[in-house]
Order: sequence, then structure tokens, then C-alpha cells
Amino acid sequence: MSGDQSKRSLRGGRPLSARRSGGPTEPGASDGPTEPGGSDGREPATGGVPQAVETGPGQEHGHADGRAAASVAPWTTPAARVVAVDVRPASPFNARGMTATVDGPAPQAAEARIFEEGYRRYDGARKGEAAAVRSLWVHTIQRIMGLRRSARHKVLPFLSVVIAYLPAIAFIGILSLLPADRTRDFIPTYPQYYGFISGAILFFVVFSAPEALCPDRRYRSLSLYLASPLNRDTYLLAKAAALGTVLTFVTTGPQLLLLAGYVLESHGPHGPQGVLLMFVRILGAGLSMAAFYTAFVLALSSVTDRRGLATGASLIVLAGSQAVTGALVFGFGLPKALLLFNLTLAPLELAERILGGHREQLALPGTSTAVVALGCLIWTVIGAVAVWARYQRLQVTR
Amino acid sequence: MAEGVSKRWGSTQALTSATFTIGSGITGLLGANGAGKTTLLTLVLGLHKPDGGRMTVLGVDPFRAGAAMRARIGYAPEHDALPPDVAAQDLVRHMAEIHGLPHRVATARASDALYEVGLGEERFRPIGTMSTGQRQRVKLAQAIVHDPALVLLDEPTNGLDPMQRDEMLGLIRHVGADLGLDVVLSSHLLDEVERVSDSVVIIDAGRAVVGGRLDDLRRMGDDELVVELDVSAADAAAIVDRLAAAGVAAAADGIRIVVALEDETVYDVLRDVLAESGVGVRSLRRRTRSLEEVFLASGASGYADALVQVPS
Repeated sequence: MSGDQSKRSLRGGRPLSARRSGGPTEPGASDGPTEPGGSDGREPATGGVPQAVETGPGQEHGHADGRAAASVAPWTTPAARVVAVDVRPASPFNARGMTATVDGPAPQAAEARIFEEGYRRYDGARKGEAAAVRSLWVHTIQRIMGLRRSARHKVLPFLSVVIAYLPAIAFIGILSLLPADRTRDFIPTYPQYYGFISGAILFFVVFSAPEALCPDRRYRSLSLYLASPLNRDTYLLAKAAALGTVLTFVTTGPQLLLLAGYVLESHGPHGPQGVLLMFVRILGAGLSMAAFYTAFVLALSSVTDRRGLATGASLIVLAGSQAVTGALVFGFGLPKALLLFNLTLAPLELAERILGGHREQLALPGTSTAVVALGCLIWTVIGAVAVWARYQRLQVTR
Repeated sequence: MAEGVSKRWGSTQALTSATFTIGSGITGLLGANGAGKTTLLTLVLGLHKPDGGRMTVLGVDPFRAGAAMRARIGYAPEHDALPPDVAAQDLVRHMAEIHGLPHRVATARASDALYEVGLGEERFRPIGTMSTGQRQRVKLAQAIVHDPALVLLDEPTNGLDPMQRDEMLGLIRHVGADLGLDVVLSSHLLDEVERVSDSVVIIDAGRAVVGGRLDDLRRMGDDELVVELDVSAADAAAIVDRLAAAGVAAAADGIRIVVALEDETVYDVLRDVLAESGVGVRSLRRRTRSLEEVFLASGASGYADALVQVPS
């Protein structure tokens, strides 16, 4: 367990190896064979591999992968870290140009000097809360998208992204290949495109988004966060920002791609002002929808710490609101404004209006945009307040 | 830690006017389950506002100072707190960043910390594939990665088998003694605290009943030898009689006998008596007051609200 043990075993003529610290590597600090007696030939703290495993001058310092080093150095004791090795006389391996594996024979006549660094004090500056929020934001985005995790975690989020972006790419392709008079009828307008991707957005909301909040409570990592510079509010802020970012990527990105394609194919808005206006509309529509579903997902995820249950709850609430409002409006003939309680329709309606959808295409032609916007805003606020209130009272320890 | 924690709050909840100071080195926070150890740690972290009393951690009021103070504290909770599908390296680096370290420094130090707890080779493995012992080590690594001024470890040996426990205690000792971090270790196991701590604070029913450097506390007992014999209890009693006949005061306690160590000659007498009896000796050790005895003694003598100072 101790560092001394490790040193002894190295000096005892075992195969040489060193583990890297994991920091940025600085290759080339000890190129070629080390000069006998020279003290400048030490590798920097991160140079993972001693001379013995090099093939000679010009060979790049490789083996930067800590796992590779680990797999060939099973004898190294874990607690001690050997970070630099200085092999004195030029190793015979170098002269022979031989590629020695680390578990091969020990370099003969080589005197190894070990420099151990390991855990150090940190006197540098510490960033504040903003950096903590930023780190959690990045970490949560990675989590939602399944990045830095195994492939199966990436399937669903990336499927949503593909479903959202693929039609845009297809339409731009069609637009560029076919003459304009043949495409006019089926190339969607910006508001119509939401019809293509609302499925992808809901798919993402239901299946991937609960990942933002649920696991931290399920695995109780929340207590680690609250023991850090973060507090409940900044924690939620980072989570909401991460979810909002990813949702915006799904709600806004395809439309922006469409805008770029349409403009290049002279199909979309004309003139700089038109393009700018549409750009702003797309942002507005995408952000409003992202905000709506961010609040929705956070609220539902705060109820259960099981991701699967949150997914189920989202499905039930979304489908249920659709079924109930549909029955009330179309079955019992109640006012159409009740459709604002349809949680899949309300944000879509607002987004289409922001994008300048035609009156006859809207689901609620009789309702003013202000009412629709207010309805969405109220839903968003309800969701946000629900999750905030839940986290204020959440008992984290004990 | 140059600063101490002193706290006193008069509520009827988990902690009842507990007053103590925690100095440098490793401090064991000892108490039965439910005694208020975790509550105390959450107060140190500033997660809750004490109902009464005053508290200072690293020179500031933890509840008010909040973020700036918590950036300099490392915390490993009692329960599992690690997402299983994240690589240990990623998690530890993330926690380092959360505590204010720049990205590159955080990456390097995450590796360092994981090497330090013996997980250097395993650090890219998802935490879920690790054993309980390894997960406890990851928890320790994330608590020390940002070079905190104070490390709080809540029951760090929970769920470990005896061997893993030994290793974990060795690591905590390593963190406190070799890396020079000030550690507060909560535990309900007396022997754990006895093994690794420099100082101890005993919490009983929300009160700090005893505190001080371990050496000082344990030296209070009289000099006695405890000999565990390889015989039946009845035979042990017979040995006591023979010792008494030889002029050495002793008492039998099951198969153990406790011998008053008045001077060095007692060893010779004991040796002769045992040799004559042909009795096997399982162990022979000098008796020091165990923490349990310290605990019982002070609880019985009404030290409940004693102001206990730990020299720092």
C-alpha cells in the first residue's frame, strides 16, 4: 500500500513502468536515450513511460493512456504513484531499436530513479459559484445526451436529435435537387416544420429529459452537490439551464438549419431584414417551447427519483391532457380555449404563432396570441414553482 | 485546521446544546446511531441553520458563509452518493470543478486523488462496476480532490468487510497524517475511532459528552494487564486464586483475567503461575481505558454539558 513498497520493487530490478498523472502530457521532455549521469533527463511528472519501452530517438512518447499503462503494470501498488523515471545509462533496448513491452525483461544495467509527486496542496485560485454552476451545467448536458457513458445511454437522446434534424436535411436536399415549381406544394413552412419535429421533441422530453434531475436523487449525489459551493437554487438553475440548452438544440436547431437551407435555395424569407426577423422568430419559438418543457420535465422529475417512472408520468400527463381536453372540447362542445390545457398542443400553438403561422392552420383560431402566450407562461411558472418548492423542502441528509 | 468548531444550541432536536472544539489532525466523532453525528456534520456544512447557539467553521459562520466556506470542505456522506454509470475519474474531476478548481487542474488532481486512494488503475471504470470498498474509496477521493481545509467523512466504513475496513481506515490515516488534511470522521464504532483518530468528540443523545486528544483520554485508567487464556472460565478463576496466593491482585472475567500491574515483577509472577498451570495464553496486553469506558465514565459523572476543549 505504501509508496516505499513501490519504490523498492522498482529498484529491485522489476520491469520499469510509470503511471501518468492524468494531466496534460508533455511529450518530448526526454527525447532519445538519456545521457549517463545527466540529471536533465527526467521526465516531467506526466511522462508515463520510461526509457526502457521506447524504441529509440524519434519515437514519440506514447502510452499516454492511463489504462494502457495500468494493464501492463499490475505489480504497481495503488497508493503510491510513480510519476517520473530516470533511466541512467542508455538502455540496450534503444541501441537495438527493440520494442520492449513493459512486462518484458528489465533493462539491464539501468539505474532507475523514481520521483514521486502524487497528491499536492493546491494554492491556486478557486472559482466561485458561477464556475460550479457551469460545471454542473456541462455535466448535466453530458448526462442527458449520454456522453462519456456507454453507448446504450446515447441511443435515445441521439435518436431524438436525428428525428428532429433529418427532415430538415431531407427537405433542403429536395429543394436543391428539384425545380422550385415542383417543390412548392410539399416543402413545409417554418411553423409547419414543427409538425414534423414535435414528435421528436416529445420523444426527447419523455425519454431523455428526466435524466437531468432524477439520478441525482436516486443515487443521492444531491448531497454531494449541496455540500459544495452550490445550493438548492443554484443547483436547480444549473439543471434547468442544461435541460433548456439541450431542448433548445432540439427545438431551435432544425429550424435554423432549415432557415440556412431555404435562404441558400432562395426559398425562405428574402432580404436581410426578412432573414433576421425569421431568425428572431425561430429563436423565440424554440426558446418558449424549450422553457415550457424544461419546467414540465423538472416538475415531473421532482416527483419521482426513478427515471422510468418520470417517463411514464410524463407520458400519462401529456396523453391524458390531450385526451381530456379533446373530449371536453370536441365531445361536449366546450370552448376551444380549453385546449390550452392540452400540454402538447399549447406550446406548439405558441411556437407556430411566433413563427407566423397562418390563421387557418392554427388549432385555436379564435383565441388571441396573448392568451396562448399567457397560458404557456402560466404552465411554465407552475412547473418551475413546483420543482423549486419541492427542492426547498427536500430532505437531503437523513 | 487552525479554526475550531464551537457550537451550542438549545433545542430539543438532534443536538442539544453541544459544545466542543475540533482541532487539527484526525478527529473522531463518535456516537451511537441517531446520536446526532450526521446532523452535526450538516450543520458544519451550513446546510441547516442551528436553532440556537453559535458555530464557527474555518473562521466563519457556516450557514451564512455558504458557498465560499463549502468550497474548502470535502464531504463524503454516509450513504451511497455516486452515480453508477459515470467513470470514477469523471465524477471526481466534476466534483473538483464544482469546488472551484480550473478544468485542467481538476483533471490532474482527480487522477492524483484516485491514485492516492488506491484506484489509479481503476479510475476509468464506471462506478457501478466497482465493489463497495472501491466505491467508498471514490467517495473519499472526491472529498479530498480539491485540497480542502477540512474533510468530513460520515461513517466511511459503512458496509465494508473487515479487510476493506482495515484498508479504509489505513487510507483515512494516510489522508490525515501523510497528506496533512484535517479530517473529521464520524463513526459508531469505538475501535475505528480509537485506531485512526488523534482526537475524539463523543456525541451522546445530541450532546457532546467528551472530547480531547485520544492519548490524554485513554491514559486515565490504572495500569492493568489483560491476559486472555486458552482455558475454561472455571480454570481462569483457579489461576486468579493462584495469582492471589503469589501476592498479585487479579480478577477473572470469563476466560480473561485482569492483573493489577503494580510493578515489573508482576510479569515474572504471572509467567511462573501460567507456566506451572500449563495454560495456553491467547493474548496479553496492557490495559488502557477504552473509549467505551471513557464514554460511560463521563456520561455517568454528569459531564453532559461540559465544555470540552481539544488542544489544537
